[in-house]
Amino acid sequence: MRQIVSTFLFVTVVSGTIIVVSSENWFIIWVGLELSTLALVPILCSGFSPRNVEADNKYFLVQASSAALLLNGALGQAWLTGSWSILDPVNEVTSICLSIALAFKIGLAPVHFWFPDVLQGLPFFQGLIIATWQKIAPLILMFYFSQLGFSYLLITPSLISVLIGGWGGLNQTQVRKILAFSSIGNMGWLVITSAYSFNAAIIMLVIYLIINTSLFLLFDHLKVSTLGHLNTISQLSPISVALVLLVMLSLGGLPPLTGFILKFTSLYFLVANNFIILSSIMIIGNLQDYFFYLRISFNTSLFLFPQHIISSASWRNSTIISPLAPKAWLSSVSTVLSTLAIPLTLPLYIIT
Amino acid sequence: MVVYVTLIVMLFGSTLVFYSLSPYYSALGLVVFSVPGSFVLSFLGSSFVPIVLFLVYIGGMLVVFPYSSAISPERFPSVNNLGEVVGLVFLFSSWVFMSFDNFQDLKNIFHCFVSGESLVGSNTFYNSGGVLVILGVFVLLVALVGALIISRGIESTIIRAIWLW
Repeated sequence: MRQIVSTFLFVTVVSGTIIVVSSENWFIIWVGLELSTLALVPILCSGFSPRNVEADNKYFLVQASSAALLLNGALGQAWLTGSWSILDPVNEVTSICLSIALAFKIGLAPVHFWFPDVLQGLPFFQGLIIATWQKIAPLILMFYFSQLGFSYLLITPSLISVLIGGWGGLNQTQVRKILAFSSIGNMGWLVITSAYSFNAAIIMLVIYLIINTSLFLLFDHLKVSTLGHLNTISQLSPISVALVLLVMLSLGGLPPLTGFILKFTSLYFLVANNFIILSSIMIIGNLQDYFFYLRISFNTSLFLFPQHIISSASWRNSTIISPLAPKAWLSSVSTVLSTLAIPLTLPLYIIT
Repeated sequence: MVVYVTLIVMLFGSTLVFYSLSPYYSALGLVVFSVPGSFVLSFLGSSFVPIVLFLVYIGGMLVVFPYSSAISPERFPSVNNLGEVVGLVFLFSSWVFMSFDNFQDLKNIFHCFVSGESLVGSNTFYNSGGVLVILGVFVLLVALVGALIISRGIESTIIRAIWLW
């Protein structure tokens, strides 16, 4: 694909999300969601291999049908209240329709089945766009929905998401499916926190996106697709050994790393609202998540696999990327932020 | 009863769309669908929307269809089981003809809300809602670009390879 076409499509994806986030009319929100889906579809079938095109097909079908469901809910809202604005109070029946449509789009638990297959079929960079950028628009809408009124319709799928994200990833050997299930679990954490505090959910979203970005870009650079590929990382790129370990532990929520703020913010607001038993269930789900993060970390850096005797003189290096390439900038910035940024997140508590 | 008979013809058209094994008869179903669709809308008082519907269906979609089907013609087009569709139409028609006495029920017709909308709706769409037109044009452009990029993989028979498994 020529570069001007892919630039046009990327700009359209970004503009679609901006349209969704900055409009108050349900129809325009639908147009923005469809715009970002339509522009992403030709980007996703990048190599035109059958696996890519099949994953692209699945992604498009799920997103298009959920956008149609969203439009249906918005139409019902306009029929019953006479207004297309999202600022008006939502009817209960149409709010169910809209919540289910948004849950489809982000991959929340009862409707998460498309997400591991789609991520597995795509290269890491396209998977990065789906797992990070495409979640912003539906999540902002969902955070807004959670603030309108307390409803178990969003709390229950989020709890199930956290548990399914944990259980689903336990038996996976493909790294992209592991990342998909971890994403499903973290979506559950985000949506539950949004029921109690909008600002906390935004903080969590930003930190989660940064950590996920660094993880996807690292695995893209190392060309890892199975757990079996992890054992040669120490030979290929010794710095990535430390980076994969730190970013994985950060995503799991280990304290001196940034991912701790993710879980801490959520638990702070949940426990302050007496959500104690269910938040302990969420912690258990997070422990299952943490098990396969540790599995990846052990296979990468904490096990000593059979290696060359003079391992400092390894003849196989990973492909050297120029330090001025945009991918190198993005991966280095996001990796540093995802491990060392706790002092930056402390002032955020002023706005919560 | 006119409205119900047109609805049955619409049913026939839409059933033909998904019953046929070849896209030729599906397109025929769309033609059959659009005529009663425009008829029933104009019968209830609207003037602009049925014209636009008819134009877009016949003049837009079905003009593009022969061009694209000329690239990949099918040798023996067929419908799955045309007898079932015709039987369904006759069954529903019998219900309609047995329920109504007059051909045109003048006292039961409701003056629908769609009348007069061409005076307000389309004007606002181009006047103060002009941003929506430009947004719609942009979305259509993106869809065209996406469709062209994806269908360029046809020459490597990628989509065809998947859908023929």
